Amino acid sequence: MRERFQIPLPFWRVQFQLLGGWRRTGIVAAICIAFIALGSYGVRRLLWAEPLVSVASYILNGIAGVQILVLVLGGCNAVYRAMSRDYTGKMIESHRLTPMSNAGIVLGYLFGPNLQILVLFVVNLICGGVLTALAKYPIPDWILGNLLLLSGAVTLWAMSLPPGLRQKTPISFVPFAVGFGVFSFIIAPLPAAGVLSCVYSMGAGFQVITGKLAASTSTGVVGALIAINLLLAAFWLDVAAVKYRRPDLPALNTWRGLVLLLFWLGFGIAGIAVDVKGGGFRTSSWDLIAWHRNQWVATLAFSLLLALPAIAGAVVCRARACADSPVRGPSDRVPALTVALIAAALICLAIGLIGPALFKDERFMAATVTGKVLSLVACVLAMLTAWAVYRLFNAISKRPMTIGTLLLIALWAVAPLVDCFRADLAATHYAQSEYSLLMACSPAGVFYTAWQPGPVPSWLMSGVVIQGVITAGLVVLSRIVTRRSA
Amino acid sequence: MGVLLTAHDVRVEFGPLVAVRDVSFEMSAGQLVGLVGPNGAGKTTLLRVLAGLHIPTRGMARVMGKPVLGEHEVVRHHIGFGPDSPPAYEDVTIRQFLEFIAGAYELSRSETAERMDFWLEQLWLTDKRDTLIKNLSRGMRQRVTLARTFLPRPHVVLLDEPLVGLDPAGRVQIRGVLNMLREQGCAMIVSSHILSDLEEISSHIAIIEQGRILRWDAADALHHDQDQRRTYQLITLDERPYSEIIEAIEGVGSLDRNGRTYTFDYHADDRQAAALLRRLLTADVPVLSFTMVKASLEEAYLRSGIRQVD
Repeated sequence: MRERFQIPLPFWRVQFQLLGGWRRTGIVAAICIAFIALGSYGVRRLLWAEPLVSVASYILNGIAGVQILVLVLGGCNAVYRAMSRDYTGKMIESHRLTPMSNAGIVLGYLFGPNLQILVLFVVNLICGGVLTALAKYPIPDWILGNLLLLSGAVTLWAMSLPPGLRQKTPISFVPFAVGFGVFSFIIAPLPAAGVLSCVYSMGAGFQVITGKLAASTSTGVVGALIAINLLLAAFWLDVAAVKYRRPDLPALNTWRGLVLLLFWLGFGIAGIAVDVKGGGFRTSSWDLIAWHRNQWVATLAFSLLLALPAIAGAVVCRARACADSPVRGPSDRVPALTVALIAAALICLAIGLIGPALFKDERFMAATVTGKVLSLVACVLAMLTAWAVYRLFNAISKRPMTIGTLLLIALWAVAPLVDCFRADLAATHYAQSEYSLLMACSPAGVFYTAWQPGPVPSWLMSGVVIQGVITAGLVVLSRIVTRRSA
Repeated sequence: MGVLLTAHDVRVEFGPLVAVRDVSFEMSAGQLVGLVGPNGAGKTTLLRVLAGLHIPTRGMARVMGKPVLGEHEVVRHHIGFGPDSPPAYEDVTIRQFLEFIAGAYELSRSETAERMDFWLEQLWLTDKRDTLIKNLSRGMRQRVTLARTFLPRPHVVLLDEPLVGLDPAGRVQIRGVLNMLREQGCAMIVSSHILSDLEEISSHIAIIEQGRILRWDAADALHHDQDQRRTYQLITLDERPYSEIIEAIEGVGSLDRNGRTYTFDYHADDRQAAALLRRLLTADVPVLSFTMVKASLEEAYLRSGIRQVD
């Protein structure tokens, strides 16, 4: 019996055995079925007067909620616990000694500890299928909605792998997953963030399951979200595979970092385009044009942050490869400056071509030519600044990525925030105060100002010049320090 | 098989601390190097670099010509590393654990069964094969670690303190296993503080201190001091005193007499020792036996200038 049902992949098998194997899984499944049956019976008794269709609908909502909790929290926690156990027991090193492929290991961590969760998912799917029939919901919607939930959960499980494979203590992804749920009202307005954090998938999945969104009318959206989730899961699995083999090097190195930036820009632009055409999320209480303009500016501003892993990774890997050519890390031969310029080119492409082409009929895209040019310059300067800062801190600090990133965030965020604060203080009940040169000292501020209706303020150019001086100073400083430390 | 393991200019730095200092060596099939040194000397770090588990600051290790840090599967097939703290899954049986390891090394079902039976037998684990690992003693876990290391038949075996936690009979048995592997052509590095055990199995001894390999010699050569001070034992036929004659010979020191047995140090090579014997015979000393006394590894280790012994 045991031999017949033995899982063929050794790493999946041992992870499953560590959870108690088939016996424990059978017991858990039986408890789950009994819990749903008893719970359903209890609800039916309590709501005796209600029609069976309504009662089944309530229970279905409950099961959908439990399904999300089990898949997201249970699944991410199972992955973390498996990696944490291997880290404390040093089994991770035993795995690294074996010829098991990197992909095999990360897939093992993804699915091995989650086989029980997947069995529970199937049990819920079957029980929910029965209730769906009673509630007179279309069963294909139930199945499609669950598949969407599962694809989102698998993506989140994959995202939980890289922090668990750090060189030092693994980090649990559960708080992040909870944060995505709790702060979904902040995440959702930014299309790229909604897609990358799976907030859209889980929300849409829940709506399809509970009959609030008919899968038959939005099969394309559901299918696209499932496909995107699988793509993202594959991406994070690849990142985790790199981290597993070389925990000492940044996993979002060079190309992977640039792919993440591409995802951000792609999902961001596509999401806003869908939203503009009235197909997606919108807030009725706000001025829609301002709303979309803010989405666009926020997408551009955050794209600067999303470019940082690629540049930082390239600086660290390149320095390591230069220090000792035999000890090269993966894909670390690309000069960091090239990576910074590629990142700048991608964002500039979005600013200069794709964005305006997509939104040419919209009033909010009426940024002047000067505004667009200054945005492009600010973007290039920002990427050069990032390159110089990481290069500088890589030469003088043990934690160049953390310190460099904090400094860059401060450099880009403090000036506009201070200016907003100043403007709010100066504002009266009757008139809003204007922004100042301070706003233009940050690329995010330049994006914001350039895409405001009306002519470009005169201080925008001065702000960009100040940014240029700061960038030039940092480039020179990093060059001096790097030469000295070499 | 030629050179199996090479280290080229391996250096490991932890901030200002240099744990391994520009270590280079080559090891061929059938060599067993006993790695000795005080705590914190860099033994474990060096073994971890050789196994590909620690990325050196500089330099590299190669197994069968391939860098251990690369993506070469052949390397991982041929390295066996047994760390000092036995890693194993607690909630599986020994059989399940070894089946997993065999699967990880892509062994067929028949190979797995054959090798598992062999190593469980060799390491006295046959009766415990269906016991959960969490219920095993420290010594038994150590045996499981060794079984895990040897199961894939690696050509290069690196063992960090493999004899810790084993009872005397177990140590004898493991020494036998290591000798067997050495005869089969494995290149092995065994780090241990139990020098008497190392002395019995090592073909070479490496002494490491502060990350630097102080000596790397054939085990026999290490018994001689670097300044060629050797200890000799002379037994005479009668009990008459010959101390004055012996002491009069240039280079002889630290003479100790116990009845007919004289023990003394003599700074000389083999040819000069033969000349010494001729002089004793010429001086009518009735020599029954004249032998060089091998210094134990422990003495050799202490003579190498390292004072901290664990």
